[in-house]
Amino acid sequence: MTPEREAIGRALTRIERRLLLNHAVYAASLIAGLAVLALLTWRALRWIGESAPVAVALVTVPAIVCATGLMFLLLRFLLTREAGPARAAGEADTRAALKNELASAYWFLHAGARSEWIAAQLRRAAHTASRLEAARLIPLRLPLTSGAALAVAVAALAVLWFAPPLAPASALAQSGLLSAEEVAQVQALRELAEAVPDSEAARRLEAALRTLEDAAAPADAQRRALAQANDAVQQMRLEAASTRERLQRLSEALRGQVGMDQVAEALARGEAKAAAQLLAQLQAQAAQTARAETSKTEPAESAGDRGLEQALQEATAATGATDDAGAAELARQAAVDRLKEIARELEAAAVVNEAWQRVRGPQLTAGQPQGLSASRFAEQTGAPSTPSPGSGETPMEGGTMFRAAAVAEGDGRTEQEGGTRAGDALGDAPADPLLGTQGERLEAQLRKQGITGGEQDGDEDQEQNKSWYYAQSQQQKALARLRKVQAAGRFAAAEGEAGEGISIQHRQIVKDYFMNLREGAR
Amino acid sequence: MSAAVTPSGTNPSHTDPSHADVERQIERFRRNFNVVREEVSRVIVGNEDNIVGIMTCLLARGHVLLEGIPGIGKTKLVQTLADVLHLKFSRIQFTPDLMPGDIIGSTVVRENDAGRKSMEFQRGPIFANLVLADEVNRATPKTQSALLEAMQENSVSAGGHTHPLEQPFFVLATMNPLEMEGTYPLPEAQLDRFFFKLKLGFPSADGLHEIIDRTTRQQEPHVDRVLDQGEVLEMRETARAVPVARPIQQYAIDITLATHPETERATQMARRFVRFGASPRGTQALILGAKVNALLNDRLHVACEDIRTVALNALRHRLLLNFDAEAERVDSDAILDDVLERVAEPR
Repeated sequence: MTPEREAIGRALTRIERRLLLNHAVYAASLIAGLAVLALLTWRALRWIGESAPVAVALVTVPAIVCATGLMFLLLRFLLTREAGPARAAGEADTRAALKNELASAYWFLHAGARSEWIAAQLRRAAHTASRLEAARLIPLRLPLTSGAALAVAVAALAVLWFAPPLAPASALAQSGLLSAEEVAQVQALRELAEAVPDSEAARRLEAALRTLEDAAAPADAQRRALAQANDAVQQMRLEAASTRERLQRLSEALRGQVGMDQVAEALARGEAKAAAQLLAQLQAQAAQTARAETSKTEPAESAGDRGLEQALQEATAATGATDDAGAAELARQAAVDRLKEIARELEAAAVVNEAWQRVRGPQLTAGQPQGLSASRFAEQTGAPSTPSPGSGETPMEGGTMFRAAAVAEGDGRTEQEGGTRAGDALGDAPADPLLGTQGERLEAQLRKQGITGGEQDGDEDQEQNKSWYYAQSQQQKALARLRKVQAAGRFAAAEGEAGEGISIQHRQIVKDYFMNLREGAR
Repeated sequence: MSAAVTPSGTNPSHTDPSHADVERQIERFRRNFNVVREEVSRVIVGNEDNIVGIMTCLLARGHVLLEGIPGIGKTKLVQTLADVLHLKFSRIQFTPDLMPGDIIGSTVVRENDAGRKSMEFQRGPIFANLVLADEVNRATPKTQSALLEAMQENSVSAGGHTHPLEQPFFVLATMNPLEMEGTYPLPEAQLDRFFFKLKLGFPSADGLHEIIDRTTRQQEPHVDRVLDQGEVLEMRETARAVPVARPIQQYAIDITLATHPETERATQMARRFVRFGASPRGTQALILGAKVNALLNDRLHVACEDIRTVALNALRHRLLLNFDAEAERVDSDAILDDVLERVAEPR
């Protein structure tokens, strides 16, 4: 073996080893990347899986296909990767900018070519090869893109690992059975169900929600369940209103009683907790007064809906009589307990109201609200609720009840023919249905107004511009019309922003729209 | 050379006599080449690449076609080169009435002192070492063919005899691309006979200053004859001796094949704009030109870079473009640039 061949061979072997090591690092990074990808997929599937089995299936199959493909490519890359002195020579030439010196030398050696010039070339190449430093030529490091990709994948894995699980409602949204608004409604109902105390309505709500969250439930069942859930919430609201009403009546009953004014005021404000505290203070005072006296009265009846008022009456009476002190103390204790219970109910009612505000938004657009009817309100309050025959609005204590939800459908065109549009104040007349899709959308009407106004102006202009010497082209006409319409829209928008929110030219349209919103108005 | 190569100690050459001889040849080649280049540059302003291109053609046993607008020094360049090389120089101004005999010579009747008549071949201007065929496209195809045949065969046939041309025989043809009326553009097959086609560009403002300074004085620059015939022939032999490894040769072939629209290796641009790709002569020109370039860069082997350096000059006149290229004003240089960009080096 010639010294040139030996020197070149040695250098190429060193470079080849280094290349293999580099490939190993690269392959290891690829494997690590695949492992991270697999973990990422697994975690993502777990993250989504509980709420959306369909989505999981849609992700699983491509993920498996991709993983298999990547594994195949990796294996192919590892197995078919060219190694050997020829490749080492090529790499060295490229990395050290040797201009094909080693590749040529290797080929001359390999082909066994002989000439003075080739010998001279080999000698030069051997000299160059002996000066090559493989470690500096092929440093062990990952390509920047691979490292960056790996870092991103690890970061994504970390984020996904600590991400909270998806809410079941998301699965509901992915099932596609309910609209986005209805899904939001279900989410609000779920929060509500978790917040309210146990009751018959709460149990009904829970049952309905279970059906809603069941991805396998058919669409009809889900819609039915949604309606049931809304009913249950309505029931809760009614119960809350009823509780408030009882507090109001209690407040009125206690007003004027000796020592009970503050309690009555607190009850009137709906602050049951404050009323209970005040009552407890009264109880403590009475206990101090009655400590020296004997107690002969029987304990009050157990606290109930009716017992609360009675117990307070007894307690009130007992404040002035020392011989009845024991019974009064017991009555006050029962009253305090009941008031605390009512306070809890009111807190729950506040939660219901808050949730209802969120539920009601989508409902208004989705369907007909079933508000508290005039008859039930009148029944609960015991107040007269005779509606105005013209407007259907009922003046009552605390304000005016607008009876939009209790307007009866008139059969005829006039009141004489078919009666008034305002329903019976004490009846449960169904609300006049909204026009819905039969009516022209307000936004469309507003835009149409701009366009038709522009067209009319355009026609006028056309008449004015008509002359023997000039005629507008179709394009000019169209452009002029378009600019007028755009200008009208911009003017209306600016006018609306500056003043009351609705431009003057649109006010009549807006008014007509809301006046004729219901079928009965047509 | 990159930082991955440690600084050299001593060059391993000069210990082996044959190696030392090769190194001396290279050294001589480079020195002579540079001397000629510098000497020509005393008269010709700029055009360094074209001077190198012409010298490359001369040393690779080829002929060169110079294209450029009138007055940019095509003829001056060739005349200067002839002066520098100490070779026999002749100039032929091609015109439409020029006949083949005006170039290659003709057989005439000569009477000796005894009154005996005999046929004698009168050598034409082509019997020189350096022949300047000025405005070669102005002569008729018949006359052009006579020149091009001589270029190819390095000999002239007349009166039933073949007359070899003296070596080195080097034709420099010039062509004016502007005035096309009354000209006879060279057919593609004849263009292929030229080793390189060089384009002379318009000089820069600084270059123009230099030209005016040099040519409007009382005495114009004078050049010395620095290279004789024997040295030129020796340089030719040296250039041919440079070895080429098969992968590099493959690279040249890949480039050639990439210009052929019917092959799988053709680039998208070649498929769209080329009717016929470069000929095998083109590949020969690539390799031979690359060998000269390698020697100029003090290398004993040809690199892919050498192939790329000469590719435009060697192939631009060998591509036959189609109508689409004419319509979209795509020239062969653009196609070759694309080919050079897309053809990968052997690894």
